[in-house]
Amino acid sequence: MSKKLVYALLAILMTVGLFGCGPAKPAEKQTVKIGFIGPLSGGGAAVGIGAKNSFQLKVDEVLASGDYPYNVVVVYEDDASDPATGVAAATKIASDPDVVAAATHWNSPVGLATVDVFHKYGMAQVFWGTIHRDIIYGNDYKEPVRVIPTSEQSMELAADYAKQFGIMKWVIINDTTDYGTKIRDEFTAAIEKRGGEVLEAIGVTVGQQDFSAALSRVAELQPEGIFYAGVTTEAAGVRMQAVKMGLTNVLFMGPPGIQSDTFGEITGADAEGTFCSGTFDVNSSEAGKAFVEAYNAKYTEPFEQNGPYAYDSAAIILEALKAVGPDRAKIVDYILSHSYQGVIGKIEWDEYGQNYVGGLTMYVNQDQKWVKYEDSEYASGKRTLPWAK
Amino acid sequence: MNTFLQLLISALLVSSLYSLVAVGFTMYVGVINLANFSHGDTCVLGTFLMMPLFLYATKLGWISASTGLVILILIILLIFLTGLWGAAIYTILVKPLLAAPRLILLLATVAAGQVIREAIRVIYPNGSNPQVFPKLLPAGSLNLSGITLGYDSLTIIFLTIICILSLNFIIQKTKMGVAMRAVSQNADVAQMMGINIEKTIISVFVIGSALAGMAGILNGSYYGITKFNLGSNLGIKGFSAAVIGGLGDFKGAIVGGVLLGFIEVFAAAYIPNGSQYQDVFSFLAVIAFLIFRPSGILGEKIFEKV
Repeated sequence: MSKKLVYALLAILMTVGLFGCGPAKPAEKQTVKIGFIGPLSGGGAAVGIGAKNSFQLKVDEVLASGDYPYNVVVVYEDDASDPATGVAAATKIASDPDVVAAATHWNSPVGLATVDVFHKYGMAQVFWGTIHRDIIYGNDYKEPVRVIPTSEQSMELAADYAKQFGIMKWVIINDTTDYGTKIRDEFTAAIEKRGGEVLEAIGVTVGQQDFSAALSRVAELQPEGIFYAGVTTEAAGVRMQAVKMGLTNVLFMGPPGIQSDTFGEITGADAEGTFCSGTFDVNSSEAGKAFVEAYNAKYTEPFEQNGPYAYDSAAIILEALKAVGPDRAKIVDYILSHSYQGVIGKIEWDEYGQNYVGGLTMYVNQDQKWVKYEDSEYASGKRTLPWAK
Repeated sequence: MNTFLQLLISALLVSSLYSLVAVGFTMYVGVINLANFSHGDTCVLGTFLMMPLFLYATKLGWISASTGLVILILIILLIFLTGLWGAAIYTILVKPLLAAPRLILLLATVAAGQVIREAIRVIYPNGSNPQVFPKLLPAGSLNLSGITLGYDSLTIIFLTIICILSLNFIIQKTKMGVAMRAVSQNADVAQMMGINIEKTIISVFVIGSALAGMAGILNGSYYGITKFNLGSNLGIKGFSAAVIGGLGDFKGAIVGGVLLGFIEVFAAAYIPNGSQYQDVFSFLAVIAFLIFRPSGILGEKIFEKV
């Protein structure tokens, strides 16, 4: 017998021995896929990645408990904040028969575009980020549900605070996307309902850098408040250039779209005392604090404003999957017919699938961070706002 | 009246930035009859080279020590780096294609722009997202009876004038400038007269790219932000300014930049709901010029090319 043959036989024996001696394996759990879509690249990537991590965190926590009946794999797709890319991603996920449900999108235009895709494939779509009203109310589908409050709800809150501050003469600067114009209309309706007035709404485009023309018009109109209806990057530009033009004696407020720490990073000191009618304050509950701790132990990127909603979206999907098994239609029905206790508080759907309980919060920028207004040094009187009456 | 003056300042600022980009554009056209469409992306490359430099200087504690001087050194270093980049573009891309039809070369520059853009996106940490650009320019503002004059705007306008004057000096008074003008009028004859064509073209690329770098960091520090894909818009605006002024004409580029800036700011301000169509107005102006005066405002003075 040649030496080579002896070695080969020895190798085979050892391999067999190794496997043969291992502990008896439990029966394999069935692997089920769930989907996640968000802006993982492009301007909204910071929010998308924060949400993705939060989503994965919940999945990992549930699987780590050991008694979950399925082995869950998350399929991540990037919508790049772009409706066309979003539809491609949605189609990819929904057409994969192994995927049973998905949590989706930060950008409303993307959500408006994909809601039909998920409906066509009969797959549950849990929105963790978009706040355009029509995504939920513009159709009679039962597949989409939304954990995050609507823009309408947050504009009502914005107008409440405006009234409380006695700031009733507003100019709106809105970006010309669906999101911007919707926020513009909703804020206008909300403030007018409370006896306020919108002197003018000025449109700008996403990607625009110079806002001097719009801001000169604002200066002419002499409003008490400027409402920026759009997202962080342009909001930061508008704010900085407004300060440069001396428009400091005016309340600056924005929608949840500017509730990113990036706003403070870009604007620096100019962020001080700006307002954001935003979403749930994670530090207001024990569950929220636990989430923050678990998240920070695992990830370095911030979870941004939508992390908790993505986390709860995962919980909802996993609970439904556990209850009814990997059946798309049954999951859709289960999700819609149950309420949940999540990090953001109680989640209950109205007849269209919109959560109507989850928390809205007014934030003020203090030292380049969004701080809940009631907890801020502005509310306590330690710092003062230049426009305060 | 105050609003008008305030807009005037804004228009001057926007004009300065466009002129800086347009001058580079027009130099390429003037000397080798090439519209270099990677020019806008070179501006953005400048900002992405500046950020690590600034970060490093901050780490070493230089920024807090004697900020103004350090920033000046950083800017000079950056101009040098982008200039070097211009030489590289020439050597790698332009030189091998110099004999090919200009359309091919033009396409190559479009591709180069795309490469710069995507390379920034992939290589720079978190490059897909907008980046906070350091505020290199002096903060604060002057208030003159209701009109706010930001020190940063004033600095940008001042620096642009300095850049343009020194470029004018180079073109008019130095040997290199004479060579550029000679090559732009007739490259063959210039060569016969003993002018080193290659050296002249390289210097155009170095100067053009250095100006682009300068425009990029001024743009970045004024708006406080930079992004990998900002260059396409900046490049198109610069090119449009050069077209309006008369492609290939140094002074035309400045006139075109100023005009474009003024159109953009004043149309947005005085046409109802104009702000959201800011870009539309500037491109309408370009179309109007292409139809009614294709040679641009100063385009007829052929002998003053470059």
